[in-house]
Amino acid sequence: MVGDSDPWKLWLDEHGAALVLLARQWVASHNDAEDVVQEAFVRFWRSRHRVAEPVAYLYACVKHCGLDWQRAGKRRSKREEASARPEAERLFAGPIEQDERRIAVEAALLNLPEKQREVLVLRIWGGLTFSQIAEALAISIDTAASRYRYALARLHEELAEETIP
Amino acid sequence: MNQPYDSLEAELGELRPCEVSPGLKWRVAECLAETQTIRPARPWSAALAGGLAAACLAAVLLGWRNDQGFEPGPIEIQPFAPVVANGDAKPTVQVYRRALARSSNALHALLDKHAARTLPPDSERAQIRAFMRSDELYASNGEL
Repeated sequence: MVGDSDPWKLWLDEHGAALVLLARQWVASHNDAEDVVQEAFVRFWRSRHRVAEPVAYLYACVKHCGLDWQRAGKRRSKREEASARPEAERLFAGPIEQDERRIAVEAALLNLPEKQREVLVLRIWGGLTFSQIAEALAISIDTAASRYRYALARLHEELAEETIP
Repeated sequence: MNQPYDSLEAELGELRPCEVSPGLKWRVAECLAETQTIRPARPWSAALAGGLAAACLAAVLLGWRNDQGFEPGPIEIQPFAPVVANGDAKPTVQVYRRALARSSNALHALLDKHAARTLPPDSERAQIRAFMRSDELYASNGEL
């Protein structure tokens, strides 16, 4: 049913992980984030021909669906269940010897203001340019770059504190 | 641009977000397949909508053409037809005035004529007049 030659599968392979990471801003569990990405991706795929910048549109769809999901308060029970076992809800994959650093980065990332975090996710893990970020979030390029710098500065500060024994 | 944070950017970039589960791909595939099975109905609806739109457009254009082709001509004002009192018509004040202007005899003749028309054919005409003619008045007085 799902063939490797399907064009939509290439898109999902390339952006799926970053999309789920972005969706985690508005939902607590990985499963809920995948539900958001599913809804957003289908919406994107049906109307991708109408937009000039499809990559930015894809991430914008995820943001809209994530916000809708958050407003609707769907899967509240799942969220509560996920918060009860945070070890199952890691954001990043990696070798176990780097778990301490990974956990520190995840915590610092979750402490960022939402507007800075979404720019960082789009830039670092989504690989979007500032122009694409600006279009996806409906902000100016300068604002996108500014938020990115603030996010890095704050992360740098928090992670530097983490390394102090 | 971000010299102090280059190493941080590199470190963040090395972290890989958790991969999506195979179940997500299957669910997306199902949703897209449903979309494709629903789509064949769309050409019909599109054709129907297109036909309706074309019909509306044609109606508007025809109506507009008719509006454009209608040139109102000069308004013809029909002159009032003169009132002609024919013999069968009931007497009017104007007819009596005209008769009086001609002569008193003409007026009397007209009165008699109309009175004869309104009376039943076998009825006797009453010789009553409000005013007697001057020659009759003189005759009744024995002056003539």
